[in-house]
Parts: sequence; C-alpha cells; structure tokens
Amino acid sequence: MTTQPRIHKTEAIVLKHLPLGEADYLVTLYTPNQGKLRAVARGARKIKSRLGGHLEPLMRSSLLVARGQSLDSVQQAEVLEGFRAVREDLDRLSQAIYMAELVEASTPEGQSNYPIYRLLLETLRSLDGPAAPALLPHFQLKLLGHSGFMPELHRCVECETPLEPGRHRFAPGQGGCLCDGCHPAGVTVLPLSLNTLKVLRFLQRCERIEDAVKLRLDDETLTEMRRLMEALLHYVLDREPRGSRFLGQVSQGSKRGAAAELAASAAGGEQA
Amino acid sequence: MTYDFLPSVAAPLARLIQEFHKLPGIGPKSAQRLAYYLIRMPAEDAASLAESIISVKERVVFCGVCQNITEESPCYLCSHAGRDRSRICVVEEPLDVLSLERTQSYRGLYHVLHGAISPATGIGPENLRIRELLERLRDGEVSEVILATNPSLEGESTAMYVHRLLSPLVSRVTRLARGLPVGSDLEFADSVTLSRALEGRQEI
Ligand SMILES: [Zn+2]
Ligand SMILES: [Zn+2]
Repeated sequence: MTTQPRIHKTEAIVLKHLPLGEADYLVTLYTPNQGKLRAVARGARKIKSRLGGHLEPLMRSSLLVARGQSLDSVQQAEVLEGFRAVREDLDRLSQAIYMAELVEASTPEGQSNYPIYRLLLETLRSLDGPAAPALLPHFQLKLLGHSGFMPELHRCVECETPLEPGRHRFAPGQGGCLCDGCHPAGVTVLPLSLNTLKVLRFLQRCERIEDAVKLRLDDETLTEMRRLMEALLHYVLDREPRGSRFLGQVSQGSKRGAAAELAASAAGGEQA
Repeated sequence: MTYDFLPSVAAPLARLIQEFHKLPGIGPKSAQRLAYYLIRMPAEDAASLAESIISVKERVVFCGVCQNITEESPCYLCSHAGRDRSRICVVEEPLDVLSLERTQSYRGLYHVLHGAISPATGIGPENLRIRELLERLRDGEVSEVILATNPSLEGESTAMYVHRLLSPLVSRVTRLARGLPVGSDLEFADSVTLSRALEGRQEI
C-alpha cells in the first residue's frame, strides 16, 4: 500500500448517488486511475450547494477528494461534461442509468480499470448524439470483456470444435456458445441465430465505438441480443440489475401508452 | 439489525434503540442518543409523543384524489371551492405541497406521487401514485399538468416518464423552469443549470 496524499485531484464519472443523513449524498464515482470510489458530498442535497449540480449521476466532473478515516469526501467539484441530451431524453437516460449500474455492479472498489472508464465515457458521448441501437449491446459485451468475461463466440464451450453456421446455441452459465451436438446436463440454453452471432462477433472485434454506432440492427436481432447479454450479465453479476427493469418499463410504457396503463389499473393488474 | 450483543443495555431500551434505527437517516449512534434522551424526558412528554405516533397512524389517511396526507378524504385543498380545477401540479412529496402553497402564486390542485423513480434504490414507476394521476385526467376537465418534481436525476426521470404517459390525455404539460437558485453564485453554477437558465431567460 502506497501512502496517498490527503487531498487529491481526479476526474470521475458519477455512477450513482444515495441520500445520506439530512443533506448529504454518498456518491459512487468511476475514475480513470483508481477505478470505483465512494465518497460523501456534504450538503450536496441543499438547493444552493456548490457541489450538488456538479455531482449528479452521469456527469463527468473534475474533483478534489479528501481522504477520511472511514469515508472520503468530495471537497470541490466542477462538471466537465453534463451529457444534457442524455439527461433530457427518457430512452437515453434509462439506458445510461442501466450502464452506470452495470459498471457499479461489476467493478471492485479502488481497482483501476482504464478500459472500462474509457468505454463508459465514449458510450455516454455517443449516447449524447444521434440514436444508435447497437450502443447498448456493444457496451454490455465490451464491459464483460474488460471484466474478464468475454463470451466465447467462435468455438463450442463444451467440445471446443469451431461453430458451423446455423448450428449454434448460447449457454450464459457456460460463458459462450454451444454447438448443436452438445447437451450438457442442467445447463440453460438460449437460441442464437446466425445473424445475431455475426453481430456479436463484429462488436467483439470492433475497436472503435464509431463502428458500433454506425451499425443498423433490425428489431428481432436487437431483442435476441438483448436477451443474451442480459442472461450473461445476470449470471456474471449473480443478480438482475435494477436498471434493466426500468429500461424495460420505459420501452414497454412508450409502446403501451397511457390508455393501456389505465386499462391495467382498472383491471387492478400489476405491470409485468 | 439487533443489539443482542449489548448485554448491558436493558431490554426495553434496546428495543427502543432498534425502533429508532429503522427510521430514515438514523444511524446506530443517533438511535442510542435519541433513546437515552427519551429516558430523561418527563413522563407526560413521553406519553404525548407515544400518543401522537399512534394517532398519526389511526387518524391520518391519503386523500383519495391528490394522494396527499390528510385527516379526511378528499383533503382541504381538493374540496376547496376557490381552487382552479383545470390545473394539477405534480410533486414528489407532501412537503413540496407546503412549499408551493407558501409561494401563494398557485391556485390549482396538486398530486403527490410519494417519491421519485430511482433505479439505484429500487424504486420504480409502479411504486409511485402515477395511476391515480392518470385516473384524474380521464374526464378531460384538466387542461394543464405542471410537473414539479425535483431537478435531480430521479426527479427528471420521473417527470419524463409521467409526461410520456399523460401527454395523450391532457392538452398542456409543463415543467417548472430550471434556473439559478436565489442567492447563489454564478461562478459555482454547473454548466447544465447555467445553460438551462440561459434558455429560460426573460425580459426585464
Ligand atoms: Zn460442442
Ligand atoms: Zn386532496
């Protein structure tokens, strides 16, 4: 353990905040050099706070952090990028919240992982621009890769033979694809179309986020990919991220609209 | 959390500490402090506190219209003849109604959601009183809904979510202007607030 100065400067992306005490926030930050950090932002919930507006989730800010005995505290904060277009659009916002939660859930505290920082930052910047359906699956796949869980997409995870086009399935608990000849007992298997497999392989070797942004995907492939990535993440994180539920509610709610919402309430039914 | 690792604390006191600890924002230290304070309190004060807790649970209900906390439903504001029934102001918490009433510049009705969407703490739209709001818009008497949730990530998410649901039901949905707080210093404003304040500028 090296000795750290009492106050240090860092930039960070705010992953989330939780109310603490009367007027404070406990913020979870992702930094380029120290990975995930937690710190208290004193008084940040007060309307005239000098910190609050610079420490909202999904902001990239420049911070002065003081080491404390039990908790570090943010002394100063200045927003560098506010990602306003993300903040003001429900679809983008629900995706960004979900992504921040994935980073929060999949990274240990105080362990640097610069590729994850860059991935999150570049994804937020792209999300701030024109709609790009492949951004979310690209983020999920790369995050898994940077955390050491890149799924096997070329060979069967059971018998290790190269996959033949059209003869493949996906086993999230085994960390990748299965050929159609392998049937390990007690393993969850999901269908995997050739098109989805090709897109996943493309995203896996994609080096620049711009290439993922350009990708056009039909609804069917998107739905399948989303199911696969969520199953894989669920397995890796050992829980379902809460943000994925909100993401579902947002996309479902916009399709169903208020009329269906009212009908559901009249029937006394709960949302699925 | 239990305190059975503290054998020196009398059982009724340990129980009281535990009860305080369940309250929001009360840590173990504060819970102990409150409990010891109560012990030194005059008996009649303690009885009055206990009685007020019981009566709050027995006598206070949610208004069937605006969902605010009230002694009778519909509440005073919802049944007041002088209120403008064509406007509903949507807020997160009952205390927000008091803040807005203090401004004396709003004569419409309210709707209390009892929270804001917060995926980080597991609060989803289904935990808020959104359906009750949609019900109120059914008969078409309301011409404007003002979304007065907080300018935080949670408040913004909630406003956008509610807006999407009710925009087909009401002709006008507005959001409180987001600008600089009175008495604040421009130098310390964040860029999101500043750019919004600039957009919301007015003739003087
Ligand atoms: Zn095989
Ligand atoms: Zn009422």
